[in-house]
Amino acid sequence: MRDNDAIEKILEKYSSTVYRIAYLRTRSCHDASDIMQDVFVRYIRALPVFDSEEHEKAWFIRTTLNRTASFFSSAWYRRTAPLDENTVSGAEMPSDSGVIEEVKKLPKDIRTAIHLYYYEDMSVREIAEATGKSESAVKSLLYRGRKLLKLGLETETGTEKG
Amino acid sequence: MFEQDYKKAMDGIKPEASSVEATKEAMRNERKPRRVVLIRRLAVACLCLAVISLSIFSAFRISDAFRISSKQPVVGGTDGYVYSDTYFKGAEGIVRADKYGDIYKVLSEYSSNLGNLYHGNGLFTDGLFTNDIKGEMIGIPEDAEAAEAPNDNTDPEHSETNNQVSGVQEADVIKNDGRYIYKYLSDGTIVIISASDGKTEIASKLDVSKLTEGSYYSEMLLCDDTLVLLTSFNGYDNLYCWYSDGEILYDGAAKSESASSLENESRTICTFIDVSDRANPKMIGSNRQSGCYNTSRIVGNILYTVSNYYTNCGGSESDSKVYVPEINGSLIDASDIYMAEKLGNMSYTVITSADLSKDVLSFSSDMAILGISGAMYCSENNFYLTQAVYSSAQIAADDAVEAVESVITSETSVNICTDVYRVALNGGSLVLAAGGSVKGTVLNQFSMDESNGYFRIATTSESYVSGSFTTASNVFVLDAELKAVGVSENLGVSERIKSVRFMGDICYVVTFRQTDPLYAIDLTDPAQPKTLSELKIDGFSTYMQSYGENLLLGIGYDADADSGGTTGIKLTMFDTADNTQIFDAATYTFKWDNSYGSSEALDNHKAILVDPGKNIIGFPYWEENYNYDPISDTANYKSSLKYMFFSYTDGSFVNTAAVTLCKDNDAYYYNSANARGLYIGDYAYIVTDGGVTSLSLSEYKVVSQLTYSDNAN
Repeated sequence: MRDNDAIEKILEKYSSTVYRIAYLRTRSCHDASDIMQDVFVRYIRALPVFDSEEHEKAWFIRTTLNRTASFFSSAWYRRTAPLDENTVSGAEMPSDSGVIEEVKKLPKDIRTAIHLYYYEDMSVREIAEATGKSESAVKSLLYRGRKLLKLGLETETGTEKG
Repeated sequence: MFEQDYKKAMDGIKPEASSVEATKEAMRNERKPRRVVLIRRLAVACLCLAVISLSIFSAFRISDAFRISSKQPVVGGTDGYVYSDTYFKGAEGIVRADKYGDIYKVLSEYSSNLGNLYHGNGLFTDGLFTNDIKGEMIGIPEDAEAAEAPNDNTDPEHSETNNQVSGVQEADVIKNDGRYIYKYLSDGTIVIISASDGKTEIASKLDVSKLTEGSYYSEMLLCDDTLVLLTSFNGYDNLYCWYSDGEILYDGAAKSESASSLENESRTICTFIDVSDRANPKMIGSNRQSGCYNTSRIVGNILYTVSNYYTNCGGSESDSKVYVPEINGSLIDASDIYMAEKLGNMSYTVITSADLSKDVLSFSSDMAILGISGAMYCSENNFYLTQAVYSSAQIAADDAVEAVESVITSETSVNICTDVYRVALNGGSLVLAAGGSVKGTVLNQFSMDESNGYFRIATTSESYVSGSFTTASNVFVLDAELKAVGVSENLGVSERIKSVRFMGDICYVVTFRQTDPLYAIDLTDPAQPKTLSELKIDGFSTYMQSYGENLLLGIGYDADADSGGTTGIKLTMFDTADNTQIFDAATYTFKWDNSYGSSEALDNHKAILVDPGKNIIGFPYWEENYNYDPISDTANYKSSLKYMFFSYTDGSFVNTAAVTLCKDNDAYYYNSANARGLYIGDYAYIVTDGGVTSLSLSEYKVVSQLTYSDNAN
């Protein structure tokens, strides 16, 4: 009984977080759902012990990024993937708003950083840890992302969000 | 605004209910009834099994409520405000615990009151302390002189860690005593390198990987012949280890087999290494304390270690090991634990002291305060701890989760304050001495300063009143009891503080929105701080430091005056001969054209080398040149990491050297967090995780290079 409650709770907490990252990376609802399931099954298998809320969330985000990376390099994907990354597969959300469409057009690494920074409120350091890149590289991705999105360029300092 | 639009749009992206159901089903099929965990010290040969039930999920009740939202809340139009994080409440009163049960009670009340958001008064003017601890008030010495770190006259002149306060040593990945360079490598090796006249040789290597494996972060302090290695274990699937009597011991996972709640294994380990014989460094002992490592200091011969221990309230009152922090395996005495009666979060700040001049290195004193985990500052006399507190005039919420997502009406006014606590170092016998509160939030340790019996703090305050959001900055002067005696308010309205430096009685504050006002505030009269001047320039500094008489060096960003966007990295030399008329005497800009650049010096003061006497400025600079074609979605990147040297001569910056440390793919992934410059005598040394490059300061020419894979002699 408790297990079911627990499963419900963890899904309620993080299913959207995981789905959104997977969707942004794969640009496909179908693939995002597959990856979401993959992540939660891994969670149940590993039952990691967390130190805090932050760690828990970081685990889900990192695992989602890992799983999408594996997804892209999987034999299945390589066989069935569109030749041009700009063609999106599967049934799309019929009405992705303009801003999401703009972000989806960005290169994968850049749109990932943009999403983690603007939606998940992660700091540069947290994004660097989650993606395995240096902090400088993350700042560069955000800088380029803003430029490509033609945003009034913001300031990006290390002191923001520590 | 992009962020607002993006957030709103993304909120609508959710998985289909059917796929969530499918996931649920898949999880049920995978679920295991028990979790089996390995524990025990190496000394015991058998394995013990423990069962941690799935009640870890009960920890999820400690819900979304208490993360600090470091981004501004999204301001809705006529809908009012929607918070993506909740806010938490800070201390209204602070008491010492009589017994562990008191702590348990406070934690339980907190857990079960998640739905109630406390209402604060905002600015506390009466101080926080009950009579309970007033008797221990220790004042801030009025004539505190900077105690210079003892300088052995036979050592050549050399640079040290760029400490904020003279005489208060801060830890770093590298230490320099004028004869040897001590470098901690992230693979778990400490390398000791002799350096003299530009020649470097490896004196020894000490393998500490068994101690640091799985750790999150390590750095070092040096006190004469004792090297202190501070290591942080964040309790994340990793066993923490420590040194004792010739062996490495480890422990991890459940402390109490009957505990039904989440165990927190975050630990801070201090390992003491005797380096009196540099060719033969030896571990001599270690101390451990609960919590992730936050910071440390050495003042005189006393080591102070600060960690943050997050707890939860599962289990029963008798399970004190679950919710009380420990040091070296024993729980901290209840009488050394302080707690806010109405908690704002479940984190303790644990502070310990150890006397490095003693033969046996254990803790001299220890204490913990429940409910604090903000920015800190350490003077030679006191630790100042801070905690941001949100208070609101009117909130209606029955349930914490609802409160998180509830729309707050436009009549609500919300103010953010910072509670400040002063812990007297007292020669190593730590005492919680005073508490107070100021409006706004602090940026970092440089926003605070103690001088002449007063504590000064610069904050940025935010307020949301009737549909509009504004910011402004302030500098407060507080007395020994942390009561405000003077304030300079409303600096840079609609801007935020980007950097602060206190120098004697003058406080320099940089605020930024699009142009950078640099304010000079005179604090000579604590009751009447006076703004002397305001200089508006493009861009802003993130770090400032005195550069000799009448000069103030700033490192930060250049920005476009119209859009406010950053366009490069800039050095600025401010002339402060007349504080009522400060001006920028010189600038040097790394412009981003088809490139982008970054430097650790922008947000880590230990990564910048500044010595006005020797006229050296040094910092690492990472640069990436790229050509990107959006149509074909291809890009060509070339990155490089260099160490830059500058001097300030005849009124301008001179780039005296640019030493390439690595490039291309290495530079893209290389964490430049570990490039440091230092000098000994007439030579400069650039130390990275790869090796050491020596330069002569007379010509800034590379004279030798060393890699750590060279054998020790």
